[in-house]
Amino acid sequence: MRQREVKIPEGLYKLIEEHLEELGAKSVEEFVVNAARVALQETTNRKLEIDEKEKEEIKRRLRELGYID
Amino acid sequence: MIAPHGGRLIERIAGKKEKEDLLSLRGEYPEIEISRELAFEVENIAVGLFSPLEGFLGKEDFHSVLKRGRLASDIPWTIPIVLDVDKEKAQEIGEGLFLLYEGKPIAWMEVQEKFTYDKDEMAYSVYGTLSEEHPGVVKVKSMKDILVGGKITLLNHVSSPFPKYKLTPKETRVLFETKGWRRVVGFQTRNVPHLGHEYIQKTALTFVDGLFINPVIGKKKKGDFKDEVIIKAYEALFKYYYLPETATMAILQMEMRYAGPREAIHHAIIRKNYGCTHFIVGRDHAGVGNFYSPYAAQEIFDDYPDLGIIPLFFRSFFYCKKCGGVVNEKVCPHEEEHRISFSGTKIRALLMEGKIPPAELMRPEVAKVITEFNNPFV
Ligand SMILES: [Zn+2]
Repeated sequence: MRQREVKIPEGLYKLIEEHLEELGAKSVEEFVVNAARVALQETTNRKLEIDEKEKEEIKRRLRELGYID
Repeated sequence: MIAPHGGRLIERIAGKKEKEDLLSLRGEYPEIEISRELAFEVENIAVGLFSPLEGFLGKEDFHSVLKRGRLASDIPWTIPIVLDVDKEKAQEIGEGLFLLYEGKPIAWMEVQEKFTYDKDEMAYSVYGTLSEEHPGVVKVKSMKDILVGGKITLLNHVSSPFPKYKLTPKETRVLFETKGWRRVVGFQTRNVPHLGHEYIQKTALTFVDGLFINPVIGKKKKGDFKDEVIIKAYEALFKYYYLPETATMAILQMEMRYAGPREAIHHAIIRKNYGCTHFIVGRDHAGVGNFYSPYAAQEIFDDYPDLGIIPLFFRSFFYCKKCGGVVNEKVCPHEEEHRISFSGTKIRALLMEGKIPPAELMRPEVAKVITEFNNPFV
């Protein structure tokens, strides 16, 4: 796996290092990577929209199968 | 509606015109006959159950999945979804390929690359062992030598013995929305339900809007319950003990891999794609024999804070005579002698003799359905 370097302020680094246990991480790197992952997951967590016409077709099938009334 | 894994629901199903166009190319490209298990994978990719995958893994993703349980794009993914072919066939394969199942073309594949791989590395990364006692290891060792990566387009659906329970993620998402379920908990199973399962499901359901029971249908190991037995047993449970307003069921056609922790993540991702917001992980999820410690499949979730589905962890439930009900270690203060455990082995032994297990272990309506089968086991 290729890796890139990112710089962070020393004070912030030290603060993270001091609180590693409470942050649930084994290293500053692990914490930063996971924090970025969570933020990205939330940002890209767009709702899925299905257009109305397709939705009606799906509902018809679900009704036929007895899933909905 | 919760976003699919990777943010976009994949749909790779050919429309009428595209299907005709692709099929007109038959004869110009090589064709390979694939197994039922691989046909399931193809369909699962095509309907978006394996979103964000659009096809079989290429080399970079394959190695990334083995090494770090993530795709090269960093999205969590723990099980390598691959197409294996033998060396002679690989030489014939160029830009495209038809995948046939039972002689019928089920998909077109745009071949991106062909590559060799180390079977021991693959088996060890996924299963954490190289023991030939592990069915997953045996399977990997029997795979063909070349992997072919590339996007697929579904031409025909794979037939199912239970068509009325086969729903695509788009359909389950509309189903949940129509039922007014904002929070939905998914339950993976390859077993007939005993009271321990029912309590886990109902405890989880107490905190969300809907319960989605999702039995895995497909190749299992000897001694597992047959697919139709599992479906019938759940139908009985639904009829007598569940409300249609808060619980529903659909099947997942997929092979069990028994990869324990890694498979638990895979199972959670699939349920996220179905539209579940929560996923139940019990003791020894997707385990086999003693290969994984009982809660390893729960601990692995710590490595995936960005999974995007909330795992609900359960310890084992048991029946306590003193409590007078189904409880677990967290709530029952009584001694071992008062407890009856939901031993799958014990229940199985009784059912094998055609006996109905005690009502503290299994609902009589469920047991009756199972004993009506001559041989309920694979
Ligand atoms: Zn008790």
